[in-house]
Amino acid sequence: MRIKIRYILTVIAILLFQIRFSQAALEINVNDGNLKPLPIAIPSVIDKQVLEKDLGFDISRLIASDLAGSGLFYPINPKAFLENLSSISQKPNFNSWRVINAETLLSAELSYRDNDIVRIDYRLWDVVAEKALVEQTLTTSRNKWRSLAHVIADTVYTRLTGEKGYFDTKVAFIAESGPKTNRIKRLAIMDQDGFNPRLLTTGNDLVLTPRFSPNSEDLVYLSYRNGQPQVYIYNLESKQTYVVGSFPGMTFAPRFSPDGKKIIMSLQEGVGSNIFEMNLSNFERRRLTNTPDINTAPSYSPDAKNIVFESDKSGTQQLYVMDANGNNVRRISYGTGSYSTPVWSPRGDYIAFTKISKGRFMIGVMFADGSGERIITDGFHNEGPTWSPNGRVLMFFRESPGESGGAMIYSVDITGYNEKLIDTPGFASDPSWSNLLN
Amino acid sequence: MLSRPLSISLSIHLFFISIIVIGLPSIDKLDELPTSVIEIELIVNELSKEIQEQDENNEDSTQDLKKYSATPNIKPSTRSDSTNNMKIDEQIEKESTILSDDEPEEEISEIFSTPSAKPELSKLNDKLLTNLEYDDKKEESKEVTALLDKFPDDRNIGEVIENIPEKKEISKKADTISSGDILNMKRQIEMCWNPPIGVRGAANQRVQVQISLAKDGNILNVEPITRSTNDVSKIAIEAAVRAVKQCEPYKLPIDKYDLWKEIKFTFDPRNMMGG
Repeated sequence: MRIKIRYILTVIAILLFQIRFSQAALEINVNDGNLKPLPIAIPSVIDKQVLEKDLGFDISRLIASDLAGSGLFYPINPKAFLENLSSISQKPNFNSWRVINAETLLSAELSYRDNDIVRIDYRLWDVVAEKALVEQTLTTSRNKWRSLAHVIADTVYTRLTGEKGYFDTKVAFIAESGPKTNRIKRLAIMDQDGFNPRLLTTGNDLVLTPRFSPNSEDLVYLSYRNGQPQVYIYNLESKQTYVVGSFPGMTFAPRFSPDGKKIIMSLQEGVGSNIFEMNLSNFERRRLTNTPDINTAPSYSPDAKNIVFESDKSGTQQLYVMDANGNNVRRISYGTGSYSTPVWSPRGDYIAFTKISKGRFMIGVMFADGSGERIITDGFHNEGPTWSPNGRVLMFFRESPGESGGAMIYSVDITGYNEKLIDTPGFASDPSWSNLLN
Repeated sequence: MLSRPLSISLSIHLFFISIIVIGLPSIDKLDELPTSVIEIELIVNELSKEIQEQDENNEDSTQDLKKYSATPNIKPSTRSDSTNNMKIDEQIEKESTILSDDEPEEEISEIFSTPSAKPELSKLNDKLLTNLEYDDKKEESKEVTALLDKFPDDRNIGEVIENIPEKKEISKKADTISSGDILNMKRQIEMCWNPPIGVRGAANQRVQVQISLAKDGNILNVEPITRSTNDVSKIAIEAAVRAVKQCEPYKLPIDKYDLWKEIKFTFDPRNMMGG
């Protein structure tokens, strides 16, 4: 017993001693920071063979442009660089990068195989901690160098922010041309930065609301191909078009389910419309709403358990959420004005929407339960938000007034900052952002 | 042989006696220490000296950096009308037009920018002193010191003046670091800390990092106490380590080296994210 008591007392004494001893370190709580774009040095990609002039420079410039465009990075002017890296295997002199306030450094070297294949080795360095964060090698054909640069930018973005990137993505949209009273609308696709635009339809038939499939291989959209507005699927690889099911009336506002196996859309019924889901493997359709109102613009939550849609059952267009089987419908928008085109964020937290109030069209976001409504942009006519695959950026279109006015596509951070015009050939509307391609 | 109840009673008594003798460990104890330290003259002189030193030290580097224009706002890229060519893929029309590869050169300055210079302690002090309406006059220096010692943030100045401790206390507790020094250090590290934001769960990424310092204020060793459990926490830890490393050297009174040779930082971003 004595031994036990002595043992207990000894333990207590040691513990108390250790607690006192551990207080030797001065403790400082830091509750505020300096939120700023992360300074990153991106020297020109080393190219010893120089089979294509300026290719190394162009790749590094595109990576810098992607990262700077996100608003989260701050590429340092290359004129400030003090060290000239001559090989990817060369360890940087970290002091010479720290002195220009770089916190990270992206070094890369490219080489060619069979003239057409480009191989790029790159390393992302933490200049302050003096360690490599990423070491990778990528290979692609030379004419896909933009995609290569986007993939590298995505990797850097992911490694330094903890979120998926969104640079190696496509955007489907409606390319508009001709006078305002007789617009020709064509299905089109481009890189997220506006490069590589391609028209997919001729313009003979009016097309609207293109939406990417989750694997980014198909587009579902509305076309007036045979006079009757119907939902179609366009396969980007085969360039084939398919009509989605045979419905007795006009189908519209289509969207893929998160697994890509179903399509949800509206079917006109009398003066109203209801929401249906179609299984693409057996073409079975399921009714999800059954009211005389206009129920439309459905969008799945990323876990496919819920669906947000708009309905005028309260007198004005408002947003509602229901279970994926159509049960448990609850209204989530209660602000002044009307709400439409809801889209669930890929992160699952927010729902983006178009809001019309006092003659103005706004793009906003709210949490899935309707709380925390926040207007991102406001103006004469803003409409049709779509999410970047990481749920961090929105694209939408903005129509300018007047005879010569038209729609243009913009992107904006969900904070409301960093709004940018996407440079499209001519007027463009109804953007839909793909998932990451590679 | 002691009976069981007696031995339990004895051990409990001994436990409480040992607490009385040694003192109850308190997590907040170190936080309380600075509030009782007043070094009126020393702090003012130290701050002024640091401002001068920092200004001198930073003059050259600032001039160097000015050479490169800092333009953080990135304009949307624009392309010429040549990009209006679009390729039509539909089988009906085969006369597809290939997108022009003639992308006009963008100005480098539109993409690349020169970052702002490293946080300067002198500027922090300037700001601090300006906010406090600093004056060299001796009487008012009491007020400054009290503010520096008592209130790290933007609290009511009126409250502080009433609480200026007697000078008698100064000599008693001169072996502690003043809250003015701690405040400066806190401000310094805040300027260096750029935590990841926006990513889900970022607000919960509380990170502890312990550093060992040399007498000149340079870091001898950095040890993250927090262990990473996922990618987000790993990035949060890296950001905290970058912050403490970037902020060296730390300007602290050398005569109190024993008190600051080990520092444990706790980075908590909740307030920054509205949490």
